[in-house]
Amino acid sequence: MNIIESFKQALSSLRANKLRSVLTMIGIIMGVFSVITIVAIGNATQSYVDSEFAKIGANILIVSYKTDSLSTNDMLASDDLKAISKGVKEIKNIGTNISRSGTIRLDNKTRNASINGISSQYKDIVPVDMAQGRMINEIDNSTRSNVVVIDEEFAKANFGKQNPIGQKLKVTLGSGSTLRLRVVGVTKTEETPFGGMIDNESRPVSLTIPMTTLQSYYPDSDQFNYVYISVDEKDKTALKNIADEIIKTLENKHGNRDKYTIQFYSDFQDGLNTVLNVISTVLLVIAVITLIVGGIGIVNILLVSVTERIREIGVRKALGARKRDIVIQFITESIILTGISGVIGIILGILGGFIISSLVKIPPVLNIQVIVLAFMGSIALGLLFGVYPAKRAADLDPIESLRYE
Amino acid sequence: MIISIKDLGKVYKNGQIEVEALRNVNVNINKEEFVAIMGPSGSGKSTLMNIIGCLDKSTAGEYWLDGVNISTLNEIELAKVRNRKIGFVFQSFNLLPRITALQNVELPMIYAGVGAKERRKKAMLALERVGLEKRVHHKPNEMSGGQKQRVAIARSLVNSPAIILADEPTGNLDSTAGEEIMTVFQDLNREGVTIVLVTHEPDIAEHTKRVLRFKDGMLRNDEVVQNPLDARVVLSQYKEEA
Repeated sequence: MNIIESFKQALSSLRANKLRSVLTMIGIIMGVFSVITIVAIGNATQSYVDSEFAKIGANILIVSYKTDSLSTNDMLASDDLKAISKGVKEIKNIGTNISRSGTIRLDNKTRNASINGISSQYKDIVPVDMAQGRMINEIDNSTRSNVVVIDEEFAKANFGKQNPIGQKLKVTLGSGSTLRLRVVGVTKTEETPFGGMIDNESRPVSLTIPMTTLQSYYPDSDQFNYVYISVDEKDKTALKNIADEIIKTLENKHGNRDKYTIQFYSDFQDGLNTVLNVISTVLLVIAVITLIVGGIGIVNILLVSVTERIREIGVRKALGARKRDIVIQFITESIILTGISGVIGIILGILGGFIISSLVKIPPVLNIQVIVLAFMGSIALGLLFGVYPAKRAADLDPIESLRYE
Repeated sequence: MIISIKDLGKVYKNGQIEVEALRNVNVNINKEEFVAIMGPSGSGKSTLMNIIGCLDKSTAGEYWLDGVNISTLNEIELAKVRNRKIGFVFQSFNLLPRITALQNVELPMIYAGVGAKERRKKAMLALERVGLEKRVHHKPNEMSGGQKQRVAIARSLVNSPAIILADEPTGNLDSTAGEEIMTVFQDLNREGVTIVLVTHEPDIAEHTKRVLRFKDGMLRNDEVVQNPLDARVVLSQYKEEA
């Protein structure tokens, strides 16, 4: 019996038991669906994380303190930035920021504000997409101008359809001083995963102003927790060398030892990826278990089918079917069950991946390799789970089978 | 000679107990014969039928079918012999219930590797031969017992077997339908088909040309039927009575 014939025969017997076939398939569909969805979401998360890190671009080094026992002399200050950029030639950009809280007066109410003073090159290290206007630049810093960059959400809520550029904002700092700031730019509010879950009104308004402007209201504010440095180098050992050089420069300048440490931005990425991998692996194992349970369902139903069709098997044998033909018949039925389930599961899985991606606002990723693998896997599953029932059927004695009621 | 059986024996082993189902059977059946095998239950006639049908193997002696020593064949070769050289007709029809008459008749040809087009043509011809050309697309449960048995006969014919082996083919039918089936068999035999029919009904055996009687696993009697009943005549008598 050739392949086309066995397919026809298998389809006709599956059609004869439609409900049973469909119920059996649901098990496999669920399994394939979960595998595909989980892999799709895993991949989407991964590529989202990668793209977010890639956006930051060149490799970033973060200088911070190694210990808590610090004297005033050890603190990182503005002239350290100059010293580093002069001393280490590989450096592309160097920047820092300080944060203070304050309140912002609106027409009839006040809102908390988080005021972020950034140095001039900060924007080149941690780039931000602008909706309108520009970011704080070097001139703003050198002239200590009273300019501010706000985010899109706040601009919409506060200015509505009015052009926010050029508008004035009245901000009271925690120290008590009041500033009148002119809006020069609006940053794009990115749709971030789970972003919609925090109530916007209760969140402090994020304002970005020149660091020098903010520093002029706080006498002892020439101290930084972090200094951000971007380099073009990607090689790990070269990065390490640059980091060592930066630390040496700082230690020489401050005359101290073991006070500073440098973290690589890519280390955060690696750490996050490890966590993501563990989560997707656990989920995948659960999905595969679902798939196996579905497969056992197939074995079960095929065994029932063998018992029900003992007589048919006897007739087929009397008419000239070899053991091989019977084996092929049952395995074909099994493969058709898992194959169709696989296709349906893949389609549902892709849809599921897209839906979940859009819910958590991560761009979906379609991995052809996984799809092909899932389909082949379904077929292999059919083969695996069909063998035992098929063997049982083929080994039936024709005389006994023909007599079976 | 189509069938040659020499000193055939069959012993069933059931644990410690051995049952001798057939003992020292010697029979020759020629081409175009119409033979009835008779005997009470336990006489060994079913065992002999299974052996002739290549569903079972003897434990002693030889069985030659159409020039092949069946006793030496393996499972695959036996399947091929069943497919090509034997046409089975069963008491309970044994049609596959979910497929049409035509598809049932095509089944042996599928295992013989006949192409779809030719299969269909041959199946149609076989169904015509048994007078069922109008019911080819009916499923077994849409047909009467007599019609089902005719489909089964058509199925047994399609691979042009050396013999047709019918096991109580009229056992599940009323007398009229039974006579109709015997008409088909007699016509086929007249056209040159060799038929071996197992029955316990003497009336049915009277339609054949030769009767082999078995008892206790042995062939007791082998006689020619002097004046076989013509099923057509019997049928017309039934119609007159009705």
